Amino acid sequence: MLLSVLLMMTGEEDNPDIQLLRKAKNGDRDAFGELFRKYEKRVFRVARRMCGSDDEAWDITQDAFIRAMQAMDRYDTQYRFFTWIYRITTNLAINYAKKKSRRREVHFEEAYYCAEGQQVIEDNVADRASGEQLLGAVSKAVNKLTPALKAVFVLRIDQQLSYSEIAESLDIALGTVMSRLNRARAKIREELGSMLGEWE
Amino acid sequence: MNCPDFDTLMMLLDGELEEEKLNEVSAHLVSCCRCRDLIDSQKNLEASWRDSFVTPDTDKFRSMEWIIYRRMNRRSRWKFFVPAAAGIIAVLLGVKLIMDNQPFKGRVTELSRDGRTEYASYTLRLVEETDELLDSGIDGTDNETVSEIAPDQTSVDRDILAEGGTLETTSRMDNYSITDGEMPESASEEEDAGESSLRCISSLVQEIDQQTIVGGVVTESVSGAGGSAGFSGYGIEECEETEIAFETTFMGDAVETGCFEEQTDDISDITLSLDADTTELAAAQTVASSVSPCDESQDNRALPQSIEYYSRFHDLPDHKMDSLKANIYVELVFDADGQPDSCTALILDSLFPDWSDYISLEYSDTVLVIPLADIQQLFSEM
Repeated sequence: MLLSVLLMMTGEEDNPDIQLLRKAKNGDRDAFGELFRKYEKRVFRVARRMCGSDDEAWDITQDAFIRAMQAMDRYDTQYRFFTWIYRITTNLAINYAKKKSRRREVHFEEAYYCAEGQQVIEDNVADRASGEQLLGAVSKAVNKLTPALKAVFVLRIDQQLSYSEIAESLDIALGTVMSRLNRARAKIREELGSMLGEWE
Repeated sequence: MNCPDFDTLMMLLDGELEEEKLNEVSAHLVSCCRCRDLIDSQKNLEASWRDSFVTPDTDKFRSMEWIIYRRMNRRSRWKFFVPAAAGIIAVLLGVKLIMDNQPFKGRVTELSRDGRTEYASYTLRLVEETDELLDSGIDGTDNETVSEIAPDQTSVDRDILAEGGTLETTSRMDNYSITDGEMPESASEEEDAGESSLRCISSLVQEIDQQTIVGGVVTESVSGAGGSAGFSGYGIEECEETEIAFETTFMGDAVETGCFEEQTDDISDITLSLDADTTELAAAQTVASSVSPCDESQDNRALPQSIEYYSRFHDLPDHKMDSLKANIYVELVFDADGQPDSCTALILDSLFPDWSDYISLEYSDTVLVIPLADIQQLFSEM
């Protein structure tokens, strides 16, 4: 009830996502399904890009929606829902990465990318690597980014969010988005080295 | 104009340059192929990375949607129905756990206090002859003698005989038929409500009490391929003295009979027999026989009674009730995505509300046969 009043006061009654969220929170199966289906792939994709495996991505996706439902009362309706769910997702992914780092795990896929990337660099007999090799090397380079840089990179490149949307999603300043994105890109290019040819 | 810095070119690529700067840089690009190449290479690199993503099957998302919704809904419900939790638990003891008419294909995990046995790539289906039990009454009426049943009996049987007891058969048994390969054709789809409800209840309430033979379920415990299994001897075949007759049944109909050597390692068909104290199970089945909890066509009927009701009904002493609870086995069925079937989810919800926090894909395509009392421990250990 209180939430409804607040929503009306903030003019968010017309926001379909918030209405769906509220209904879902009250047990409306259809509303939850609609909301989930609207964002499921995007959330999973961000999670998968941020972490090292499908299993982790599924866990993060599930946790993200559950937390969104549970924390609905704390949801600031001035933000768009997708930026909120992205924030939850990236925070979860960063936490996963921290835990993983503590466990010193090397995921298979990362190892694969590492191996492939290293092989590409070592076998750099051509000025430009093949598309497949380049893609493997890019993936490896992205995986090597710090979680903070990776989050900005993923939201910009994979989700194609604008800078302001990224800032809203990650709750950081616009300038921080720009600097992190540029650092991420620079690091990736640095990792790829001569595979991209000379520029600078 | 000198070449813009990398950051500026990337902002151009992202469409984030302000208009004045955009015009300036765009004019530069007309004459600078080096900057154009940089932008193109970065654009292609990022596009190929973005397009390389393979989105999982929609089915997985649907499974997750179901899990999350159930979890959220359960938690909100729980606040309002905590007082009814005990009742739910009790009711669930009369609710069918598993087994529609389709055979279950996947791993079968038999859990017991002695350990865990996996039966990979088998087909499992519940079989029984419960209608005959009801027809014959609690005490069993077939009254076949041991010699008519099977020539080679268990030590328990022999003890009973040594004490001058009469071993009777009720020609019923709650069986799990695990068959490697082809399963027999399904029995009649038109099974009546009574059979259906019995199938439900007996798949839930399995009082394992190998030492109690009331009504005379005859069972031979043999170590066969894949682990310990019980083999039912019905005397339906003329077998040699060193052999045990067996019958594989489905929905009360014998689908295969034969003999096999005791302790043989070459057993392709195994019948896992979960012997019940016939009197008590019959009572439970009698209670349940008026309803069909998992038969959707009869969902308006009353749910079967709780184990507490069962206790009052039969005035069982506490220690007996504790024993009964400790020995009740339940079956938890999980599909290929690791999702419990509806009955399993109900059971888990009531017995172990946090089960979804612990469950994992380890259980995909699996039937767990597990003591009721061990459910929480099982999932907590995951």
